[in-house]
Amino acid sequence: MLLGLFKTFISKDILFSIFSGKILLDTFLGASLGSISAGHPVNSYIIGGVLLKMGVSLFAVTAFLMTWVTVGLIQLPLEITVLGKRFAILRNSISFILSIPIALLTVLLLRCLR
Amino acid sequence: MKRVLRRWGFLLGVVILYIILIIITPDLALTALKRSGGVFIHLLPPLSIAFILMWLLKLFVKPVHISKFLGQKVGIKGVILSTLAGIISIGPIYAWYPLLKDLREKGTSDFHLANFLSNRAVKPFLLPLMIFYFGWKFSLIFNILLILNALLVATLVNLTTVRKWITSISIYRKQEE
Repeated sequence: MLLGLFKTFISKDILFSIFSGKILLDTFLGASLGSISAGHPVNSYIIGGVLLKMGVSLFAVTAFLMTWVTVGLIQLPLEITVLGKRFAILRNSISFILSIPIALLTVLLLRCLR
Repeated sequence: MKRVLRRWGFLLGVVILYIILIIITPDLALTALKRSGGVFIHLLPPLSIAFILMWLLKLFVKPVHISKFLGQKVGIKGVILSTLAGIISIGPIYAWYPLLKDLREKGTSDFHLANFLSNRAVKPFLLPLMIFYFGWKFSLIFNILLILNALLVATLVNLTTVRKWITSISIYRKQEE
């Protein structure tokens, strides 16, 4: 349902004003978008697929898919309560930082295989 | 109420958004609804396989199994088991927090907890959908790197814990002297 809204109200121009085509910046933005999102991973695949179809780079989409599950800014307060401040902040920060090189590596390896 | 909101809040939010848009701009809202229907029909085959696999997994894998997997603390066996526990665990993350808290109190290391949480990104039952969208080559590379990434995250998180222990031990020893 949200995708219908997304496809109707978010034009390619709006999307490209956010994702400029610069690999590192796009990957960072993809990772940030995934970090602030929450929900079933199915949603991340569907949104990622749509973003890819609309022309967003695979680098950004890969980082987005990764941080959707591994980084959870929305769940962070709960994670801090249950597992401690140090553990939660450290785990989320490391996951966010590593999502960028891992996304780059995924796409580069994919290109090598093609 | 909180639980219901957590589970259905997202859907409820989208429905409210649609209602608002139908009032403001009915034509565009209807177009969006039609497009959503199109996406849903398009996704039905891989999504059905994914949900059947999820249902089977939920039927056979219970939190007690995960708890046993994470209970193994040492060696390569412990690493493999916490990896597997993360991969086969399903459901929202907040549902796992009480179990993780309990396991931590029983002595499960930060390494295994971080490894478990990071490996939750690997979803074998969603592979049909991932392959449908991104192709099998991408899915294969991505999932292998996710497992390696989980090990790296767990190692880095654990390193700081070990450093913290070393610091507290040295402070304790200095106090003893």
